[in-house]
Amino acid sequence: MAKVAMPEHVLQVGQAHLEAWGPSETLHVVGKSLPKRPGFDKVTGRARYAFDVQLPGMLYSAIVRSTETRARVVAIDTNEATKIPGVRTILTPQNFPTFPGQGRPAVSDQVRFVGEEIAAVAADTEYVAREAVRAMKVRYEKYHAVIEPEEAMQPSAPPLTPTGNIGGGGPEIYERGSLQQGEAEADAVYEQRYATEVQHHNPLEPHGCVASWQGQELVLWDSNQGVHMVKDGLAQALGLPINRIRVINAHTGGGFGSKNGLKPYHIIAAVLSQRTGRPVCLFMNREEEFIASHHRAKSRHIIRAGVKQDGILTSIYHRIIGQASPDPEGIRLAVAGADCTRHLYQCPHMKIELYKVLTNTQSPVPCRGPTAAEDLFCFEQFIDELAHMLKIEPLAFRLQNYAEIDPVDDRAYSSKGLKACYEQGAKAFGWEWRPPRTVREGSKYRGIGLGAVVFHGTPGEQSEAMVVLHNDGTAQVVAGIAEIGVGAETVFAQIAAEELGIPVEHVSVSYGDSQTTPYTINSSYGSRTTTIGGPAVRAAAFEAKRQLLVLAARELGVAPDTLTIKDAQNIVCLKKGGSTCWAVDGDNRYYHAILEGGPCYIVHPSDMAPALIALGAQMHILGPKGPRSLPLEEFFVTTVQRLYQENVLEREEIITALTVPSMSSEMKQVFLKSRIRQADEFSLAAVALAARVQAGTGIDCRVVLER
Amino acid sequence: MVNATRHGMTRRKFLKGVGTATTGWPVVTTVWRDGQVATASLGEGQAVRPVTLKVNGAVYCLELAPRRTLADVIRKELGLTGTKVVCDHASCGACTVLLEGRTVFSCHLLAVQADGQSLETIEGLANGDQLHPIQEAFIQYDAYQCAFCTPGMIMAIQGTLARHPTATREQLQQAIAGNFCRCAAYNHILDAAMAAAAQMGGQ
Repeated sequence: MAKVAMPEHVLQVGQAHLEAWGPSETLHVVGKSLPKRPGFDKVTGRARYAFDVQLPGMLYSAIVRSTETRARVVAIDTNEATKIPGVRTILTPQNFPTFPGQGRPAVSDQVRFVGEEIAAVAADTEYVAREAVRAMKVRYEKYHAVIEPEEAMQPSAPPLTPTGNIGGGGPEIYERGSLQQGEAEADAVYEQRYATEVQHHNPLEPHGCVASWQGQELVLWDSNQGVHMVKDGLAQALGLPINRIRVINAHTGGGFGSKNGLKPYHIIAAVLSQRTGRPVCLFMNREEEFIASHHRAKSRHIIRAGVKQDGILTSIYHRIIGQASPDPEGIRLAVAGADCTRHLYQCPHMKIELYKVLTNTQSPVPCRGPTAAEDLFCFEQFIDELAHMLKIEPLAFRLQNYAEIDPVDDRAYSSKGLKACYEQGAKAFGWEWRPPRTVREGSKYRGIGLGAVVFHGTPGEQSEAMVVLHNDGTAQVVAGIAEIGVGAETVFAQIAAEELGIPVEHVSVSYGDSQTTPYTINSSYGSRTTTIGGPAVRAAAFEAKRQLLVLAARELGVAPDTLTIKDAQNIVCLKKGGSTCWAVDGDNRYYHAILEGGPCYIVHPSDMAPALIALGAQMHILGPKGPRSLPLEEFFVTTVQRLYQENVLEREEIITALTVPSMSSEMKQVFLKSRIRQADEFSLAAVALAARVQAGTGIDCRVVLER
Repeated sequence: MVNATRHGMTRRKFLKGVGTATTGWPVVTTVWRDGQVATASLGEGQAVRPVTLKVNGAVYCLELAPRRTLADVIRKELGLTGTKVVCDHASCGACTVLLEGRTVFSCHLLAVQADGQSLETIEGLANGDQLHPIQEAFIQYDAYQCAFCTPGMIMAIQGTLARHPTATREQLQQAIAGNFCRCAAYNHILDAAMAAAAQMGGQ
């Protein structure tokens, strides 16, 4: 296993420095377009998603969600629900366990938005669970709720937290130069308002999991974007050591940012499974996906810019109101740095105000370019309008105000390719030939716009990956990720194959189980699985190759650095379709004695068979052609006679009996075996002997040798 | 027997009929080791009725509560989880299977409606490890990301190509008009469908 802290462009593994790979022409596998894995499983319906997990005795759960926006649950009448046959357990705020974690429990009487979890049921089927949910009557004490951010900012609005309705107590402010001066220097000042609305992720595989306590260990089959992040979150929330939680998820039916980390249903499923002693399956239905799986928040923008007549920006004012929820976790992604505004253009005077306004809605979570998508749309739409107003071609306007150095901290960029992107992009979608204005086609309006986005890159992060070299020449990458569908499995196989110098077909990738994989990434968000996990895979492959070459050098009596891997072949056993038996030359001292020639050096592992042969046992077989019997020694065949099977059974034949002749008092028998340890072990060699003994002399001796 | 075409009967009218006709069917019970008695997956406390389904060539004789959907039975009773349930409202196509060769939304068909009929699911398409041309094309044209819609997409295309081997791109677009891909792989899906059509027509 290799741990990686990655400086720029260089990967250090032990004493070695791995340079960045050169242009793709020099590479064998990386940079090539390959069919995405795991193709076969996905097109045959065999890929098993968490949603497909079915365990013996599994119960189904459904959640009672608040129909009120802001309230306290006074009482939940469960009488009718309890009477429904098949209902096993009902969790309410009264009987829900307390955990050490902070914040609202997963099931609670506090209601902060429509859809919040207030009770849950476990039943024999999903139909019964849903029926029970419908049968529960909830009485609320309702409070004045606020939905719109503008309303929540009014002094008259009810405070949703003791510190008011603006996250952090007030706006986050960014300033450079002087807005006042910039607007004074401008020939024209233009202001516009924009709004973006809530967006739901709606992954096709709903949010949910199957929880099952296996002894002291909690196993969760969960639809997520990363097994380790859910495992860590659950350990913290339940107050359990990390090594007692196992999260399994190989394939994910879409996440788009909404399946990172812990959500209330994980805890509810775990508690229900503990209460009932059975596995519990808890998945949202489509309605719940809208009201309770969290979303991209709505935002409100006011943008004002000062420009010179010739199109040079002198000032920008940008106020963003992002909708947050009353949950402390629901504030972070209401609005973020307004990176587009700050970074895209060389504008000397700027003021940005970011308000995170608490309302009675779900918490915003990452969603396909969290907050950058909203910022991009509003800000670049504004720049387009500004350009049109000044009668300047929008791309020319952008190039005029292009930031040659970072306008935020006045430093040179290490690299910036935006200008090349503008040129190539404009060419690719026919910017020059676009219609002069929006064209109406029936009920649709079509137009071509242009915009760029600034999105935070990924800083260096620690990542772990494992590469195992098997004795048949194949390699296995073990990576702690969930394969969300964008191709990490393929990419990791390519990276390992490139570094090892073996064909990519010889590399498999295992993932999706927090217990058996290292911590490659907490969760696949921010487009960083390859950039963070890839170098770890490469480093592990490098180290595995180094260790292999050290071993090989020792065998060959040469220096390791004189060796390299080239023209690698898969070592296929003769019995699996290969052309050679590889066992005879291998390191087999501890496995078996080789007493005679091939072509296959398979070992017969049974001690019982030689003994029974010595005793003259008969095998009785029944098949489509009728019954047949034969001595046991004729039942077994060597690989010379039959390569792929060690006995004479034909298709659809079964063994019906094995008979041993009754023995007279003159019969003596002995079985001796030689083995490395005295403990129960396969024999290196064994001998079985049976004989009739008359006056101290053995007659009718049968001696069977085994190896 | 119930006529189980896609528009043959409304769910409400059907349930009304079943409710009176099936009173007295036995309830299947399971006794758990903790002493709990479950009128579990088959019966759920409701009357059950016998249903025979021919799925991918194999015949299954089941006893099912009438309210269970075909998708639910395919997944939970037969363990064929390739068929997905996504919207549960006959809107997204993830549950598409072939009933007597025609594409249906299995989430919006009761299993009892399919009694005595023949079904094909995604699991029945490949011949062992030998993939169907549509499946081959889906891999070749990278026609999925998360692939949760893939089984439904493939069955919708198969339903059309089996009956119209010379379907055009527009007709194939129509064939998957009821199928939703949240990763938006539509262009690749149509490319794959066209390649498969060419391949199948050439056979």
